[in-house]
Amino acid sequence: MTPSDRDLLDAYVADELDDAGRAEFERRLGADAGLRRHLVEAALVEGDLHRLHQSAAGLPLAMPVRAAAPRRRQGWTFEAIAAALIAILGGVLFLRPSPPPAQGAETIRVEAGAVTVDGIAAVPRAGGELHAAGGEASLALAGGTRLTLAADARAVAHEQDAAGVWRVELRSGQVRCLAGAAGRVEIATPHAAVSVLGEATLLVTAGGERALEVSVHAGSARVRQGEGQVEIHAGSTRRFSGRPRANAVGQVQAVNVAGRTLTLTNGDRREARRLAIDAGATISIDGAAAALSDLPTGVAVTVHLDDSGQARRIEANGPEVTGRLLSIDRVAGELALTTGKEHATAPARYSLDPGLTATRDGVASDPATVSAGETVRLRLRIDGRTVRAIAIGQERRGEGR
Amino acid sequence: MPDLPDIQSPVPATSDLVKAFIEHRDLLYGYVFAQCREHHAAEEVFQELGLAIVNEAGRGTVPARFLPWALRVARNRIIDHFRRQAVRRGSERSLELLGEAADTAFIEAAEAGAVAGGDSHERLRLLRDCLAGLGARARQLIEARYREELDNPAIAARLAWKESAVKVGLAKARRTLRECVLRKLRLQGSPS
Repeated sequence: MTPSDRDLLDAYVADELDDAGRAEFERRLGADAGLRRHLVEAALVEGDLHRLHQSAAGLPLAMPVRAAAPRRRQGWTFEAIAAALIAILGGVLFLRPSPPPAQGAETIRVEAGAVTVDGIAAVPRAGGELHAAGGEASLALAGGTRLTLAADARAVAHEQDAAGVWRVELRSGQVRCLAGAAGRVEIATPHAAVSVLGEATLLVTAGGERALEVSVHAGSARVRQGEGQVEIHAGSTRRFSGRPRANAVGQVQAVNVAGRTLTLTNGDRREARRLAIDAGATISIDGAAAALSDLPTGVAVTVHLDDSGQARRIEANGPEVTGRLLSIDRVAGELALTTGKEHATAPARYSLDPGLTATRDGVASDPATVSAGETVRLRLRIDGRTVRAIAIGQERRGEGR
Repeated sequence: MPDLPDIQSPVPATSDLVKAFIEHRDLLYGYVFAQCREHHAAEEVFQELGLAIVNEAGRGTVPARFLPWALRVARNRIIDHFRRQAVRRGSERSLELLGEAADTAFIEAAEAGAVAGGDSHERLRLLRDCLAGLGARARQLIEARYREELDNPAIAARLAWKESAVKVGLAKARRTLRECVLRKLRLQGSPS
């Protein structure tokens, strides 16, 4: 593969080619078997990267099947059973959709070593995952917990883990959970995890990508989102906003406090963008709540927009710097860092924030244990000179957002 | 383009079709991604493809050659998906699919035995190893792109880099990972 083919392939995978570039790429693809092989390899690694980062356990690609045409009420069709049996043997169960009536919904029973459908057909299980999605369907889990997926819900049920917890990924839609005293279940939605605490009845709704609603009718549940968690008790309903997408980023060019607008310029893009700010918008600077008037010009911000395009959250965080720690002097309150990987750069000096925190592999650690020679990632304050957090090793999933 | 030009007979062979789908699922997802270049769209299309194949299996469809047939089904699903999306959003994203050459690439890969469903776990394990060997900056870029799903401007703002540097850094990181995974697969004697 020539360097220019390699560049074309990189740009194609990153979706950065214009029409002419794509046509050229296709022309080269037709003429070069090696490039075709590289395209397949690149696509496979892209798929793996996506799976690895979007699935907590790095599970094989889920293949939930969504509702199609309604079918007869009387249990599973031959085709569905056949497909399910084959799929189970292959490690995947397609849970076929059922029509709206909830009465007598199909029951997939998952016990150690066996799966039954509506009480019949014990099927040897080859240790594969149970992937469930589609219309009204009920999962009866060993331990006395029953989960009923509403029509159009999309979910993936995983094996019971070593601690005896059933984990169900609810990607969208609603699930009703009746947890028995011995049943332990966690319902993970795209942005939070709901753990059922003992015997409980609750309704969990994942509203697309952005929201979660948990309504507990009996018992209690715990919702973890990011680093925070909250317990919900019988008779309560809580709604959680999901992780909003970073819809606008840039440097603050101007803030109009009275008119509630924010004007951003953006890196390589030269045009400025003016955003209206929602009355209830929250603003944070370096992780602490702040007022709109506190936002200095020139600072980099991430603005989360609602569906109408108004800013509902504005976050100003200092940049991150990665490098090798040359020295750290807690008494003087400063450290020195070199950032070059192969050729060390001149040391850059930073002040230590009095509230400095540290993590190792995502776990909170005493900043005093950080020592020279370690490779560190510094989270700076917006002044670009003060270190407020030091991270060493890899972050855990969900952190650093 | 019709979905099912290769049907030879209506003899039910559900197991074969679904098994073939499972066997080639990684390759099919790779194909869908290569055409969409966007993972969320690729996932949607892949689900639709799975449903279509299971339905065809239920009807007893027996394609002469599974992969060319499945790629054509996938291609039609991609076109349908983006057409529906355009109607819903009232705007059309220009989606130019790669032509025959892309199909050829994936068929060649399958025929060379380069990818099989069973390799999935192993490839992910190797990829994890390769990620661990990446430099801190490259890993930051990969985390920001794939875990946090930030686009180039957002990553640039986060790291106080230029967008162009993010673009180059990501391309380099992807390439490094690709080469690393392939090297490890070769060492294991895999045909990839």
